[in-house]
Amino acid sequence: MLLKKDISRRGFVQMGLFTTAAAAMSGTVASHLQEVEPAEAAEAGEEQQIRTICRACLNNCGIIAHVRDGRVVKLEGDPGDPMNKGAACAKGLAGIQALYNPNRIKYPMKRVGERGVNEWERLSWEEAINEIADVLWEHYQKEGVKSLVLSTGGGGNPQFFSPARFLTVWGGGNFFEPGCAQCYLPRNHMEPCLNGTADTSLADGPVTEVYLPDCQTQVYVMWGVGPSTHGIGSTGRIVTELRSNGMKSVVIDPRMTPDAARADVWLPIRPGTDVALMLAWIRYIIEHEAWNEEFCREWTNLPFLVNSKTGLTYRANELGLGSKDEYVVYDKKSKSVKAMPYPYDKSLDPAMFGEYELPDGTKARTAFQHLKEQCDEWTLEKAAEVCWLQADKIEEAINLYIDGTPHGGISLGVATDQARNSAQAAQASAILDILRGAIRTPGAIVQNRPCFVEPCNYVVMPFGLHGPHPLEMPEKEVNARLGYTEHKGLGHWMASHIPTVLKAIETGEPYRPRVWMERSGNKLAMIGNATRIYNAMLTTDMNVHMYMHWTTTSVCLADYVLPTAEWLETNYAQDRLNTYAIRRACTQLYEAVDECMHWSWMAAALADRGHERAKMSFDPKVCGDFYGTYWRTYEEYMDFVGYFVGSNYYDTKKWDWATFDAQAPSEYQTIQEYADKSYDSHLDPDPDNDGKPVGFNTTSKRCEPYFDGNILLGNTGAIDGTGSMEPATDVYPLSDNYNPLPYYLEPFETPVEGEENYDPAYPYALTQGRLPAFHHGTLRNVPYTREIYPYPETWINPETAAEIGVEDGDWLWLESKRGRTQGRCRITKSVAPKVIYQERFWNPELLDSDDPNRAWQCFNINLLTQNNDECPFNDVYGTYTLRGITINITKADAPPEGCWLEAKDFTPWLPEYSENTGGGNAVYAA
Amino acid sequence: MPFMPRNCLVINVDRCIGCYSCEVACKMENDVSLGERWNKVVQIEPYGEFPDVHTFWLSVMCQQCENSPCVQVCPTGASYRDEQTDMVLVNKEKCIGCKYCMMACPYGVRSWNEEQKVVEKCTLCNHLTIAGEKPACVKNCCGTARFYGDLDDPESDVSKEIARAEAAEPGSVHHLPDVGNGPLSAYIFSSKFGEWRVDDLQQTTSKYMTTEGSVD
Repeated sequence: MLLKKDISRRGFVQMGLFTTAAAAMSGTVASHLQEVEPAEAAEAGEEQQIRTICRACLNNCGIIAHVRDGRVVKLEGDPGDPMNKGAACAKGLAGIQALYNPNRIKYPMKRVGERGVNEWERLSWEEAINEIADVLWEHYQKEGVKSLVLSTGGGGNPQFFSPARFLTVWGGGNFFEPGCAQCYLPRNHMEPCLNGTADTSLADGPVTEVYLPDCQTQVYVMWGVGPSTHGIGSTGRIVTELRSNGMKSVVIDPRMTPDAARADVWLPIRPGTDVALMLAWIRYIIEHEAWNEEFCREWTNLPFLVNSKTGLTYRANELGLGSKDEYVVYDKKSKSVKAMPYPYDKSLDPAMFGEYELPDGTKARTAFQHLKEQCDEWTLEKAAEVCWLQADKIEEAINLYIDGTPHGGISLGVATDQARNSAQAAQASAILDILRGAIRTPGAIVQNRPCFVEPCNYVVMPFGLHGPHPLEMPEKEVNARLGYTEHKGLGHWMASHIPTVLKAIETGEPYRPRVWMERSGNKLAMIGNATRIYNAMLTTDMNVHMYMHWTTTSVCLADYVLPTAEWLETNYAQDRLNTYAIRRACTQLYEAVDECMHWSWMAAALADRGHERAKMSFDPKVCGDFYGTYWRTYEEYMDFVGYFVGSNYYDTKKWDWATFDAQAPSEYQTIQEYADKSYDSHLDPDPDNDGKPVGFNTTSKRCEPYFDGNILLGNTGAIDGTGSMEPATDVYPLSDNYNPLPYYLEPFETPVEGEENYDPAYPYALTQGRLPAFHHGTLRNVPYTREIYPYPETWINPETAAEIGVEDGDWLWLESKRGRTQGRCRITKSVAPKVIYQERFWNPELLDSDDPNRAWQCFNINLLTQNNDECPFNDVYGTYTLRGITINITKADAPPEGCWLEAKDFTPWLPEYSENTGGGNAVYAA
Repeated sequence: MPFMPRNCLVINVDRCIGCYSCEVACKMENDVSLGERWNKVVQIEPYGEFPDVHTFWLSVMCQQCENSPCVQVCPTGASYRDEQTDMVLVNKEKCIGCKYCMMACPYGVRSWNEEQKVVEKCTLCNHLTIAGEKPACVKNCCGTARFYGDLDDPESDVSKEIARAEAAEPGSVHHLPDVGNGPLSAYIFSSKFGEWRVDDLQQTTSKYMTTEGSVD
């Protein structure tokens, strides 16, 4: 790919600033050639092509941005990118309309009058930072660290860990994100705990195998995964490619997605029943002896004997059979209990199933026996009945999976993260691939190609994320995080439990957070049971919102709003398989700033006021090279990004932004090295262990389908399941242990008559799911995406529509025990009878209306979803239920008043072109 | 008769994943007004008995008809066949906005530009294709489902894709209903994914679409 001219940031900044000045003086940008380095200069009117990466979702597809006279005029997929190969989706291509959107937050603003009224005054950055820092400092001194709660979101935000980093500097307090326990954390944490390798999220990056040239994947089970609706340019493209080349696929999804429509088998599962189906798959594989014998015997903990009192696998020293590092098996040859040394003693013939007597006379069953008993009731017929599926279709799907593995596997998507069985789904799904030996084999979905910073390769990290650090959050504050004691899996992302945070704000128990700083899109549209968070956040002392566009979180709740940069205005780095790609700011508008600077400037202001940890966060000796200090200017941040990429991927500590920029994107490994480093990598010799195989990244160095680490996690907070039963001094142990094996729970609100909690007033099961034109709450104010999907559709099967008495195109009321909202009826066989699909929505056009709250109420399915205390949360992660709640549907007289429904309505949001100002960085530095 | 290329788009419906990237790519590239689409994706509602149902996404744009009714009915020659490329195009300077062509088009793929009071449609991105680039919808397509080229050139992307599909399954190459106008664009849809159901475009359901587009 030959590009006309890659433009460097340095040349760009100079040109940008000069352009602004020249325009101000003469209204023309006639000649600025002498101001920039000749190789990077552009003739006025000449188009430059900048290779950058998208952030309309979290896939970071390669994009070529065409820039003319400082204005982004065209975007297209970068054919040189190894993952999207020139493809670009509607969300990415509409980036120009997001960038130049009249609804941008352009300057720091302060509320005039009451919350809920859309009236604001403009502040300088200096005023805004100092006023906010004054409030923070006052609360810090008066109330302590627990006064602060921060949040972010997954709506394309590349600085996911920025709030958590700020909290480590602040010294305590709470951080939440509406995804997290409801999106990706359960998989991101639990799957590697079992398979010792990686999670299987296609959207979030660890599924690299499918993108390799000559990919060997023979079967791909997409369990609640929608490649055609999330990272479409990369994920949709590659799955289509592989399917066209003969790869078999199974899609398990309540709704007929494009990938379901092209799958060999589609299982339209009842929302929230996934674990029941997984247990049936496990049972089938055991019953048909379809588990990989050699792998399960030698590389899993399935033959290990389990202490029936503690639930833990026995260590050999406990029974006087060997060392603490050895486990215990029943040897069929000697008919006796023996220690199993690492990696494996070939003279032993361990029993996989059964119960055996130990030297002390007690009995113990193998881990595999426990698993077998755990899923014993889950016949195909029972799963079919519970999941509303056909037994023969389930069997067909399992057999496709069995035939194609170990050169294939399962990707688990977000669906199971949004129900009370979230942890168990991740356990069960991981167990399946382990049973089939589909770990680190060519074509397997589970591969060992780690990047340095999980999840999603974030460059800006909280101090202490990767081991002890002087600025890590003090342990007593970690343990005081709201909801952490009960849901210790949240510790993996240093997160708090949203319903417990809200309860603390509501009741002051165990303490009351008083300041909320939020960096994402529209929390009122994205958090379950939205009314609850609205009411809670109305009572705080100060709310600060940082985003690119005005939302109801800003208008209805914030006291300060801080303008945040769009992806076309930011600089960042991202690995794309074996290459390292770069996001280059193509312009910077108004006073918008990359959020890393919001937090940096806040830390600097706190340091000025005497906050000791904030002072330390600017000290290179304290922070260290890996995390870096906070940054006083954007250039300092950019140089850190360059350094980070160089030092972690290119074996040089000498890079700054300019050196990175000069060569990115580029390969840091050959694709062959990248591919090969995973296959059978558990067999690589470990120099620290006498050259024995390095094994899997678990306590036993084997895959642990029987995850007894779950018990230790509950007791000690040890996030990787290591440690002992001795609780750590400051960690509050759980009243109940997390189960080492997956188990099924019927959705709390069930549409099944006769089940506990069945309520005939709410007979239908609601599910949600991605749309190709939006990412989470984004782009509802972007004309070309909003016209594709102007209002939320309510999908209803014809049979159910007849039962309710509604017709295609009718406006509807959807109602749960928590609230009601509207949608428009689409009668379709894309969903099963009694299953309703509607996706999250909100209406930016109502922000300027008399009642801005209607913007998050008219079409918001999250008025119906759960996060109330009556709703049981997932034990490990505290997941509340977004999919699989029950609702009722009635016909409405009309659509909600004032909502824009027709394409022409979106005209006021067409681009309002603006000059490159250099953004907030041009007017402020800490 | 001099050599005349037969340029058009060919869509592999098997590979279309209904992502609407082509719509937005087209609109951004050609600055198409809100409510108008030169290329429109409609989902054929799932048909069959649940759960054994089939569906596909159908991309509808100017079919580059061999006997194009739009050119025949145009009173001013604004709708014309380009002598160099043989493409059916609109010369906006000659268009008087009578909309006869919009009524004549069997596929409703012509759009009304309210600002300029002229008719518009897919140009096969001829400003790009003349320079050797692919049309924006083809370039950015997330399913690699779209192909552009000359049907008479066996080495073109469209000819190769049609040949590949015919070899894989004879009869898998379809056209929109032909009332004598001879649409050039071809659609590949394999029987394993269902039955080709586009006899009546009015029957296609697409709630994704606003009503101001051209098909419905």
